[in-house]
Amino acid sequence: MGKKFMVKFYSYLREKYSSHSGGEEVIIIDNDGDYTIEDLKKQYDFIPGEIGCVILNKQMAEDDAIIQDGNLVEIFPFFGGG
Amino acid sequence: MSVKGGYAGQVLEIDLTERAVNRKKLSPELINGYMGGRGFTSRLQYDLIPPKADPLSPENVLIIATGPLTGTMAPASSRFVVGAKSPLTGILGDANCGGHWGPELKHAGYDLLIIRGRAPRSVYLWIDDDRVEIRDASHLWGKTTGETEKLIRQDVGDDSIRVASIGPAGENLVRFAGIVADYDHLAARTGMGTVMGSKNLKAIAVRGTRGIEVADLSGFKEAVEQIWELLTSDEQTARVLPQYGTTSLVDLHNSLGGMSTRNWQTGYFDQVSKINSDALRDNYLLNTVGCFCCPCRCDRYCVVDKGEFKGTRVGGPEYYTLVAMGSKCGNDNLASILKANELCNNYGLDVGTTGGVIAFAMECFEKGLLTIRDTGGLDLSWGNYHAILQLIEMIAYRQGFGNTLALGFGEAVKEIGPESGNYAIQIKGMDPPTFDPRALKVYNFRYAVASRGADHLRISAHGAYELEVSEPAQATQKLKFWQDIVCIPDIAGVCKFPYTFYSQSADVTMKKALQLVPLLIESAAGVKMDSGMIMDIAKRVALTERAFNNRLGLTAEQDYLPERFLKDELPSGRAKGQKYDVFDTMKAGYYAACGWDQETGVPKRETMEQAGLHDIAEDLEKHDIIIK
Repeated sequence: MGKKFMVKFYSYLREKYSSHSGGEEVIIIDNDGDYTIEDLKKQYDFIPGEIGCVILNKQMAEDDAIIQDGNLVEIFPFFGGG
Repeated sequence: MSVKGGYAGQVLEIDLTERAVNRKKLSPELINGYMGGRGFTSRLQYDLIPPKADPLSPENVLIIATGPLTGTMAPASSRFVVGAKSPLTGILGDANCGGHWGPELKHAGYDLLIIRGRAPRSVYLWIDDDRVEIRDASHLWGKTTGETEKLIRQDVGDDSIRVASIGPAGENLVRFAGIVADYDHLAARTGMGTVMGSKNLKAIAVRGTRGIEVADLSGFKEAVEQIWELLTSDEQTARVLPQYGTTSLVDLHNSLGGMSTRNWQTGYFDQVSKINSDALRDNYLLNTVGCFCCPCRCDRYCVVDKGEFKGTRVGGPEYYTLVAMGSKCGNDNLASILKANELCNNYGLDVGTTGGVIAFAMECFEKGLLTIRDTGGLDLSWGNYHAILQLIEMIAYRQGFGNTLALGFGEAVKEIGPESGNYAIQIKGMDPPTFDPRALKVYNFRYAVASRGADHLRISAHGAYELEVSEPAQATQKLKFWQDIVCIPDIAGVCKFPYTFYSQSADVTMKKALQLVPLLIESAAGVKMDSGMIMDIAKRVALTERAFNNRLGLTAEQDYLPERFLKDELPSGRAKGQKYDVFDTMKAGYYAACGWDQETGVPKRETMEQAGLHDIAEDLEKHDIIIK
């Protein structure tokens, strides 16, 4: 069965990691095993310092959170200061 | 400890009433206790400004301070701090500025300027190494900051001098006038340009030709190389800051549902794509500019080359400006925002508070508390950028309705009527910047307790999100920790952005602030410095600022968030439905973390004594401030 979910990139991550102007990418995983936020981060090979927080279905998510079919994963860049 | 380098070693004292110029040796006690920059201004504000002094009277003292790293070859060593009693808030005022003016002052041989009194007629200071002149400025009065800088360069006959000046807003005592250095760098907040105007001081021009000695050159160079390597290899300082400056925060704050929109009525601006970093880059960005010795080049330089605002040229904008003159006023016309930025720089206005009072007036207009008759014909409907631009000029020259806003929120509410107080979104008289506390509650509690009124730069954390998931007690401890960390660049004379929160991880920030800055200070000044010592100084600075405000009568009651944040739910965006519902918990936790008394908001005796501030504790008691 696998799973299909949406990843949405925000701010300056959009142009770097998404081919769509809205920053939305559909991810399809072919196997049924657990797929975590950490797996997603590895897949994109983010540079240290790029990612501020990941929100999974409107809740801030840790690296070990499991992404389910139909989920929305939102990735915000790091920020401090302003 | 006697220092052997880093500092220029001299204080220049100017009494404008007496037309007197004195030089003094920089006090070792001041160096050891407060290091420099905001440390110096905090202590000298406490010691030199009488508590009852009217901010616009000759009694107020304007203090301009560099740090031990300002003007050295340490990266991003551009910063200087201007302090006085604020005419906007009536409490502690200060503003921090980059560019090249601070290093030039240091190269002329001065760490500190202390300016007292009031000149009988308009003057400017010309500091040419040892030669210091108080010169007539009658030909400059009324000029914009850009014109002033050009004219002084002609007067002096040297195009390489550095000038810090006020514009018409400072001359006219608009309460939120800033000081403009190097055409486009502002010591913007809390009305320091207003204090300069009250002293009839139009500008301070500097030429410095001396170097700055360092005690241990090879050690200093090694520390510089380490930090340079970090800054040029870190994603945040090597790519994000140069490429976007601070403007990427616009999209970010909007995505989080916290971008101040229509005077904080909501946190989501549906026209954000017209005013964000992409729109700026694609349409108006000409170049990026760096301050003294900085590899990050985060300043934008923009030109409008077509349309109604063709000919606009401005150093900026920061994200702050895009919000203050954009979403906060319901304005999606980016060219007009750049024009507003240009006008504020030329007139010498803090673009943040200017946008804040205009947004306030626009909501009063929406709610029917102001009509076209009150505004002199201006239609203050949301997004009417022609009205915004006209109002900026009317504020700077205190014309008509502009005069109502020029005196700040308190006076404007008196003029418009008490109901308008509901729409004056301010804390201690100053407007919050851009980010709605309802959308990020732990982090933005900082507005309630910052020593210069609603402010985001007294507490700035690396990775603001993580604070949201902390337990309140732990979160407030972290806020206090970050408060001390971000004070370190302010006292050292370097820029907060590359030295603290623009880093790929909190560990890198810690390395820069707590290892490399002390190493730079130690090798430059030839005195012992480590992470514990520098954190002690940072804590002392915060307590001294708090004590300054307590002595003026500030209590726990003045640490608040506006009712709108506490009572109104955000109506749209990601944080829809949120209101600020953790205030009491946050306040109690923060006070405990700072060692302040919960009831009075005054630091406890043991807190003051641990920081070595016995003298200030005694002085507060003399002024009938209860120390528990």
